[in-house]
Amino acid sequence: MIEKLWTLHFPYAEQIKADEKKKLIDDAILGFKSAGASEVGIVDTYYVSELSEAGMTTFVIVLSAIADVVSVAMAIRTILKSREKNSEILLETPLMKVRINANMSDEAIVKIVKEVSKTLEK
Amino acid sequence: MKNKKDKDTLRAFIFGAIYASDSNKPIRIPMELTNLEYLDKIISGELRGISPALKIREWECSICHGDFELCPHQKGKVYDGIKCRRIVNDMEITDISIVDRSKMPRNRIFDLLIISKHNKKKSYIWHGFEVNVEMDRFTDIQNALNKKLIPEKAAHHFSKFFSVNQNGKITYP
Repeated sequence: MIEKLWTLHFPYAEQIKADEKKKLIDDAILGFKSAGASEVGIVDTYYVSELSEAGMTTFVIVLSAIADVVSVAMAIRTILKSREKNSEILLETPLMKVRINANMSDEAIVKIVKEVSKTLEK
Repeated sequence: MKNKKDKDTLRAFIFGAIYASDSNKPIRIPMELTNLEYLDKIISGELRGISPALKIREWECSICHGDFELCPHQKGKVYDGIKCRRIVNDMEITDISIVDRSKMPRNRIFDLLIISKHNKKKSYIWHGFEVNVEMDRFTDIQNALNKKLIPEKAAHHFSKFFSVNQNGKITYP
């Protein structure tokens, strides 16, 4: 397994404050670690504002980790479960941006992550 | 045989504004249009909106002017009669899409410059559309001049035309 960069988008109606941001980053790291990922680290964080969606701000975490597809899928599932304020996460690669929501089955999430993983390069 | 540099070319540049936050200060965008198939639709008015994606690293609070993440103020709340706004401090535009109408109507194309080169001679067409404020047009012409997209005489010619016409199309020479 090789280390890959995972770009996770967390949509928010409003911009988050520092304590909420810290908790979100901690939840993301914990989610990956508890799913069996190793070498988990935060590479970058920023906000994305798509002005076509007025008022919507997305907080983005770029995370590096060594993990198989199932572990990443389970990490996303764990993060979503631990986040009351986030019912969905968008997984971004240079080629695509896919939406994963809390109601999806484990199989569906694994399938999405598998497709996303194919387009990722470290 | 024609030298590669001498071949006929057509380039187009759009000028407009992006309001990145609640601030009234827009970001001006002179941008080359990479897909010339959109030209007709921009001219006809079918596509005039600008929809950018921004990567933002820092927001400023309009009340205390500190880091919005760290200050206690909440966006939209009124403090001593002043409504709290967040202002983008550190950002980069990662992507710009041209759309029919932006959800933020002020984000739109004001001007279109078409530069055509035929037999080594350049000609310029300036399309001026509806602007937010009168100075937008002259700012765009000045930007085009500063970026050496148009010669000084063309800038003067265009400015003269738009000082009497609000919108319209003008060519040079």
